[in-house]
Amino acid sequence: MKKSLEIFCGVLAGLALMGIMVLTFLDVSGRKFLNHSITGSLELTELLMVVVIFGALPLVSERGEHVVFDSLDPVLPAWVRRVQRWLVQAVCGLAMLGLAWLLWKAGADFLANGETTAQLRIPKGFFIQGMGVLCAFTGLVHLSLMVGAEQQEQEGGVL
Amino acid sequence: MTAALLGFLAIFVLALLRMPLAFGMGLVGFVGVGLTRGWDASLAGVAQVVHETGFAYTLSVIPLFILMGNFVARAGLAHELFQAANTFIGHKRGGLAHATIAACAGFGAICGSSIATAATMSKVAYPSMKRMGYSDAMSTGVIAAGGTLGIMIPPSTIMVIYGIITETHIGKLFAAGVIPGLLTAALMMLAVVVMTRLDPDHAPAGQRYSWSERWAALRGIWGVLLLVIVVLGGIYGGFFTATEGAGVGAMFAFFFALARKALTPRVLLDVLVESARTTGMLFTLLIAATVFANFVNYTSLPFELKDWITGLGLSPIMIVGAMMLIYVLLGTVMEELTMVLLTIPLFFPIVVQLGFDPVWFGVLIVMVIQIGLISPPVGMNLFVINTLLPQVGLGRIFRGVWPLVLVLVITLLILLTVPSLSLWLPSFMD
Repeated sequence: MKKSLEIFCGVLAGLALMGIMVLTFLDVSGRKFLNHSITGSLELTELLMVVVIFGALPLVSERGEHVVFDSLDPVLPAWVRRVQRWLVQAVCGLAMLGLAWLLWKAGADFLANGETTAQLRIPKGFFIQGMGVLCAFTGLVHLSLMVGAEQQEQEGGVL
Repeated sequence: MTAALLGFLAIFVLALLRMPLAFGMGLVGFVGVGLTRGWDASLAGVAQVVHETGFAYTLSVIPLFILMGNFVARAGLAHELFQAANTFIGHKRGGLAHATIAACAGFGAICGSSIATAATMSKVAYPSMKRMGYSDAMSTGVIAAGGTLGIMIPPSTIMVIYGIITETHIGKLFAAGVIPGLLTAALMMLAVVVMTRLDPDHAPAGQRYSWSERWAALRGIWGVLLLVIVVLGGIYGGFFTATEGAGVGAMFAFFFALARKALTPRVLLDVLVESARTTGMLFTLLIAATVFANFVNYTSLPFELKDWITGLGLSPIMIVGAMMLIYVLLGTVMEELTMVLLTIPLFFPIVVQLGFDPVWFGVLIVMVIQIGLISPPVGMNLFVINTLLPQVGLGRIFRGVWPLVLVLVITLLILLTVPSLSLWLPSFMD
């Protein structure tokens, strides 16, 4: 289960990112050297961004890469940390499930109004609902981390 | 105003309870707007922030620069940079430490991350320094501090983030970082001279290389130069936008890694997924910070703070100086990105009102983040080096880095008092 989530989300987000890179490169070189840009490249990038961000989210949660203030860890007894983990993961899980519901509804509104991207006429609602589904995955990941072996946390590296 | 202060307090309490900061900020923002403006407005607001942030074209600059940095790190370009620097200055006392700083500066010009720069240099420079008999404290301190050049010398992920949240021109921010970055590198080298004079046994001189060897080593870094010229030259010269430059840079870095046989399909997928994860983590923070900032902006806190501070009768530069002091102190215990995301909605309007250039303030922000990244007890660069070189121990890393924290604080003071160091290069871009 864990393995298939990793493969599914990893391939999804990774390929989308590769797609953004190739698309931007081809679009820029086409425009600068051949005077011909790719139709709808801007909105394709936008849609792919959604896939990168939300596709990676379950993995970020699974690996505990969110920024946390963990300096108190060494001084807290084990049972406090267990309760803490249970509570934090429950709140995060429920928050993500709530967000999933919210996005699913927003996506449905977009679809009902027939909102599409400007050039390629791709319905945005599907992508917003897709965000919702991936947020739900993320929520379930958090709930699954409430119990069981302690997660190996990594330092996330944006800076 | 009380509502917003309670909001900040709630975030700190949640953080102490070990709630991930993104979730803490998002929840507090959501509940805050819900209590003050009604729950329907709050739900609608959150949904809007989430999908609008996801669908923003200009934000694709972030994953592209992250990806470029990760490809560059895999391509092994750091090795050639270190070697080239070593052939020129390795024969001086503390030569390898100088070469490390120079290589960090060079690597910073193709990678936008301090942590990635420090991590790469731990692998490239530490073994050589160890072999030559450098003390662990000295070598890890230099690598940690040198790594922070990654975010001052463009490209820089944090400058991109600052540019996006304050709507400041990213190209100008990049140009503004060049001189401060080089100045920081020069001052660090000066500090190494002093440190090695005090403790000559732990930083011996290395071998002297002939000029033909030096030219050969310089030829080895053509890839780095090409990337710098194309990406930074392209953005500075107005040939690309930052987003386009990032896309082209990532593609070039990908080709480099491919040509150097550093990419198997497995490694490629790893690099892509790692970059996507970093992006996902960052966007969670960005979205949450926006939700929280929307709440803060509904309250009277930003105005009252602005009135209070401008009413104190302090000179504008003293106000910015006080902000920097707050940042340096907070940075010793807080994660720096969160610190900036939390405080920008409050500080930035004041700085603009006082008539300062947002580009200059951006450089100062990067500088305080550099300081925060290497100031004990909580400094991300120190932790990363500790993970990569567990045999050294945090205590020694702390000991080695202190003098260089001081150097960065002095650099901050210089940048604060001489804004033209930051603003001269971007002034040609109008």
